[in-house]
Amino acid sequence: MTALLDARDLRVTFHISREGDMPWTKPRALHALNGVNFALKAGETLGIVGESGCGKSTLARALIQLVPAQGEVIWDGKTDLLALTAPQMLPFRSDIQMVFQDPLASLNPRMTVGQIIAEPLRTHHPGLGVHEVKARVQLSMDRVGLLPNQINRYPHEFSGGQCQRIGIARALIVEPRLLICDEPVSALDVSIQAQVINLLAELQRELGLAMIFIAHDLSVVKHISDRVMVLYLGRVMEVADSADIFERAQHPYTQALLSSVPIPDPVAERAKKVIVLTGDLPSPMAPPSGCVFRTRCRHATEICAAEVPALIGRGHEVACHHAAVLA
Amino acid sequence: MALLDVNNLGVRFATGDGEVNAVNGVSFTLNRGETLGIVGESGSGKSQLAFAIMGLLAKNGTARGSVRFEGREILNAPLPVINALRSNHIAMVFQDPMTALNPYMRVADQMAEGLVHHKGMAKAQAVAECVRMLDAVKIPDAKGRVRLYPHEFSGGMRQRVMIAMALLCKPDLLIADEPTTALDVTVQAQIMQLLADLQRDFGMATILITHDLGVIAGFCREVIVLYGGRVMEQSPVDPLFYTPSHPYTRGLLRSIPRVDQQGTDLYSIPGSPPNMTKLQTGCPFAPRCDYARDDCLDHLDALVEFEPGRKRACNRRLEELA
Repeated sequence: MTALLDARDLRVTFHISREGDMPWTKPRALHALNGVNFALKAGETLGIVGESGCGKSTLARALIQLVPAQGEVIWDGKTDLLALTAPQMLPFRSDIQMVFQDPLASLNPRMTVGQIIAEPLRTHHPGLGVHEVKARVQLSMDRVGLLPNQINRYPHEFSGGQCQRIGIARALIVEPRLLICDEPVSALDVSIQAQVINLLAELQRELGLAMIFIAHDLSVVKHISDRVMVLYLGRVMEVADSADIFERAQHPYTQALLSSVPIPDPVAERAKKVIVLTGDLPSPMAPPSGCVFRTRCRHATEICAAEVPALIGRGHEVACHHAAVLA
Repeated sequence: MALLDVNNLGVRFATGDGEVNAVNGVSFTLNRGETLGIVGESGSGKSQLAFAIMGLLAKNGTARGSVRFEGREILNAPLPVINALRSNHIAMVFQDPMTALNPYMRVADQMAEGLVHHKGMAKAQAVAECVRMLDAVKIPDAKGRVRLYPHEFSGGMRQRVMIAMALLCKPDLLIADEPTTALDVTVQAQIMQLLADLQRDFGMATILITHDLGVIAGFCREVIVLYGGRVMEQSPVDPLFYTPSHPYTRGLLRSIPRVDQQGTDLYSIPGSPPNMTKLQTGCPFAPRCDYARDDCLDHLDALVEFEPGRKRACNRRLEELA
């Protein structure tokens, strides 16, 4: 079976001028993503985790040309999305929709809920009549648990969780095949988070959506994902099935990340051994040579500074020179 | 004598939409070296509780009740009394280090202020002390970094600067308001470890305010669960997690996905947190509660001790919550 989406050697480079640079000084390159490969099957959920600055949001944006990227993103085994011009890309945008982190900021405050949810239809299906649009908006609202009488209200009248439902309804109205969720629940209260997570999981089952789920909360990612990809400084550290990565993490970074997650169980939490990472994230402008994680890794040796470890393995892929020993 | 004795503390705001009772009837005592966790969602009143203790309420806010620090009443005390305590005896770590640190001042200058004011140190001596504390919170090259401005630090380091600043005068009580919420998990683990070490070394008491039950589980001995400005449950940490006595606490614990367990369908509490300006007289959780009956909308029973050391406020008896 061909993958729904196949990203090959995805690279995003930002050019940044430093303060005090002369006008003729060449801007320095920041490699936000450095050769990321992954494939996503139809109906599958890929969780992407990593700390701030690791490139997870950039990855989501690169896939749909919201930031300029190099490499290939093969859609449905046929089309390279990155090679398309904006007008050529347009029909594919209804197949890939996005849900953003800040629920209120991603909705236009001067539009009603009905207008917000209908907007993608006006772009992608301009020929639809008023009644058809309204019927689809109502269907979409019903799907995410919004009441029909809320259609004429404005975003500020809703709580964060409700706003996120509006954002999801807007994404679903064009019947996408892939939903990219960039930290969809991190701005929400704990008791509301569960509602939105359950909604996304349910919609995915019903509609057979593929999902890319980006979050820094590993418990949430574990709950919703089939596979999980761990990023660090723009590189993939480890990719594996969700159960596999949480029980048999092989990369030292993944192990440290997992051990840092607090467990809401006093006895387990007190007994837990945290692998505390020393130091701070290196600057992405000057990443370490070889393995980017080596400066904070307990197991780093000479080879780690000399060579970039390749992402290897079948099913459970790891980029670490010492993975075989550490597993 | 208890270090901090809070009795029936309430906070009320006069707003354009009418009176808002942000905090109602919170009582607890805290001894030296103890840790108290305060859990709640946004709007539950957890931060206002801390602000009231520190005398930092906004101008339209009033605090009632009593807060005794080493036996002395400090609630609504005159500014000189409060100022003598702040940072010297009670220090606070705020949620957002970028807004809590003064962007115009070098880290050395704002850190040293407290030492110069309270301990009468010379500036150079105070700065040397700051460097020592920055070292203790594991900021690399503290000596060089102390001369930088806050924006030149990363988020995790800024948070550590705030913690170092709070600990400079070796306070008896540290109030940490969501100290790790803005941080990544690995940095959070570093900071919580650091707080635990410092608490052990200095014998400091800590009030940790957070929405993260995982952080509470690892760090606190006693927990207060707030909802809509009311205490729902108050209990030592272990029984709170293993035999929660309030429908809200039970719902909350069941609705968090856990990294150490295989995922089944998550329980979700229906509805959304209350609008504090339109709060009814009854139990704030009643509209979302599976066990609520008509009387819950009218009134909420007072917090009662149902087991030694454990209190709950709920109109339904424990046996009724099958």
